[in-house]
Amino acid sequence: MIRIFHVDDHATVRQGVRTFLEAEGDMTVAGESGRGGDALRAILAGVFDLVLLDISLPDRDGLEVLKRLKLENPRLPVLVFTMHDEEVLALRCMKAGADGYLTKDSDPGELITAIRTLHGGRKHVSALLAERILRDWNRDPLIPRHEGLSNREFTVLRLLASGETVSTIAEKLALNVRTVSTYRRRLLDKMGLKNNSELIGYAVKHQLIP
Amino acid sequence: MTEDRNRLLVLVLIMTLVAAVVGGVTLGMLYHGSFEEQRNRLVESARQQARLMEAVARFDQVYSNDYPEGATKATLSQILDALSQSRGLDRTGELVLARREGDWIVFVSPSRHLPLEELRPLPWHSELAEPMRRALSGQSGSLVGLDYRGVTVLAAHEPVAVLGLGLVAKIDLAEIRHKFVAAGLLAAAVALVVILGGVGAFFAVSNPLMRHIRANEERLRLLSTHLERVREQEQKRISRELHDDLGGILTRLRMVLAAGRRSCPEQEAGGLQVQEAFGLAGQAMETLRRITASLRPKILDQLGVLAALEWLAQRFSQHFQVACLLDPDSVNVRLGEERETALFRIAQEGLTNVAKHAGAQRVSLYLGMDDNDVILRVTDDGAGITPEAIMNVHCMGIQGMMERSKQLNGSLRYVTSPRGGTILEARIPRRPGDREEEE
Repeated sequence: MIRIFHVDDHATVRQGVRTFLEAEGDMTVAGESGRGGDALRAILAGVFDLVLLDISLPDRDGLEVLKRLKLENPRLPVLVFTMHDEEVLALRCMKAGADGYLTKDSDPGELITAIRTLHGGRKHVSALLAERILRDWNRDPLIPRHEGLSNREFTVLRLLASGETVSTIAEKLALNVRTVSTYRRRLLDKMGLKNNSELIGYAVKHQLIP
Repeated sequence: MTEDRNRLLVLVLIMTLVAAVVGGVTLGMLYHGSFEEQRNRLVESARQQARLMEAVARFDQVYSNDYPEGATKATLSQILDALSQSRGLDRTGELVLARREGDWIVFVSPSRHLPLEELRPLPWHSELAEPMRRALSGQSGSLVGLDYRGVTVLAAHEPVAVLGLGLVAKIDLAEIRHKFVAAGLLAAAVALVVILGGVGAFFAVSNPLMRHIRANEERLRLLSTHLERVREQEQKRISRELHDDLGGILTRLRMVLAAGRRSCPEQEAGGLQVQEAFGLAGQAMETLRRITASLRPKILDQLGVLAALEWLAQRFSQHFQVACLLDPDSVNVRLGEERETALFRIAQEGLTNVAKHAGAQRVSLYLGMDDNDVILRVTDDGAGITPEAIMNVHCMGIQGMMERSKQLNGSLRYVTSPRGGTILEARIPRRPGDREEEE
């Protein structure tokens, strides 16, 4: 039996979801709440296999609830189930640790699939969203990837590529070593590179080394 | 209130200018007339005196040869006697007689300004006594020049032929000018009083008008701010109710229909209808979402203005096939609902203009702060914008953006970027609570 906790401020939706899921036979909505604060307390106090979370809540930011949940219990899968189809929001949720993201206009059958996927320890996003995220990820192949960097990140990229270490860069830019490390991690993330040697390769190819 | 001060300044300047021009022309004409009159008087007087002296001299040459020192001396002593009786013209006018002795001009009559003993002969070639030099050279006429004292005078000069003397009738230029200077000063003083009175009167009349206009402007601005706020709240409320309530109901409807579909496959009676109803409920959700997004994106309230701008950029790219990006140097500033909404609406309007008019290939949105302001920029590489279009009061989009920034004590301007294209920049002053947030 998969024990689910459902957070949604609409009783109508909660009722619909409960009826729909419990018809599956091996799923049960073992707890539900319309408010983020109550939900947090109840979830952390009880034993559940999965949290179904809407991020528009009346009392607190759903993203905050998500972050708190993941902080307190990182292994508890959270499936965001919401009206919002904005990629911006979906990406924030995934970054904040959500294991799945499903919009309410998806085929309800996909909700079942998603719950099973997450319960199996994997991730799930709706197909439409996945496509958009992917398109956003490697948007226009003609626009070089380093154009998405901020000025500071770009500076750090050029210095790293010319062989400087994080600590000498920190000294040069009068920044904290940790800040420079953050820049480095962020720019590698943004450009989809793994390490310094890939970074140097990229910089040479695009003639970025001063 | 600088505006008031400038208005005052311009008014005083205009009135002063008018007064100065009118007064200057009038006084100038009067002075010119008076000067000519004085010159004629001097010329006439010099000529008469000279002719008279010549007549007396001729008489004496015939009848006064028994005078101890000769006829010429007799004439001279009569003349000097007559001169010493006369007071001279006005305050500085006088008749002067001199003769040439070699390279010297020697004065023979006492001066009004100096006794005869102090009237030293002057060298012929000197700067001084130009009128006398002309008289002694046999010329008659008039001029403005230096007299024997080095004072500028208006003088008439006339040779006295029989006696070999030169005669100069002159008056100090300063004396002629004096009354005009006095009149000018008096006129200036009067003008000053009148101007001040006029300015006072003007302001007394125009101030209530200006106050009225300003009050009206302020009223309109408050009204428009109020309407804007009400509209924003209304949109937010409708959007929320649609999104949450109707969205919830539709979600549940879909669940119910999905359950129905499960228990009632398409082949059976009613199965097709259930399937169709399920599809329609999906379309209704799609419509609902389109409406709520156009009213007020939830993301603005949920994640703030930067995320909303990112969303706006993505939507713009999808709708218009134009690469629209959020500048990676943008920062996530949190400013409170009212100002974040205003910036979002400005960006939205700016993008609408880009889509309508610019024909751009790339657009970027930037949000950041400097020491004083929060800055929003919409940069495109399109056709650019004309100043007429910016000033056009019928272009409600631009007027609306201007109004929004003005309401927050900010400013809005269009700059044509050096590489073509346009930069729209809105600035609103920072407030103490403003902060940058990690995304």
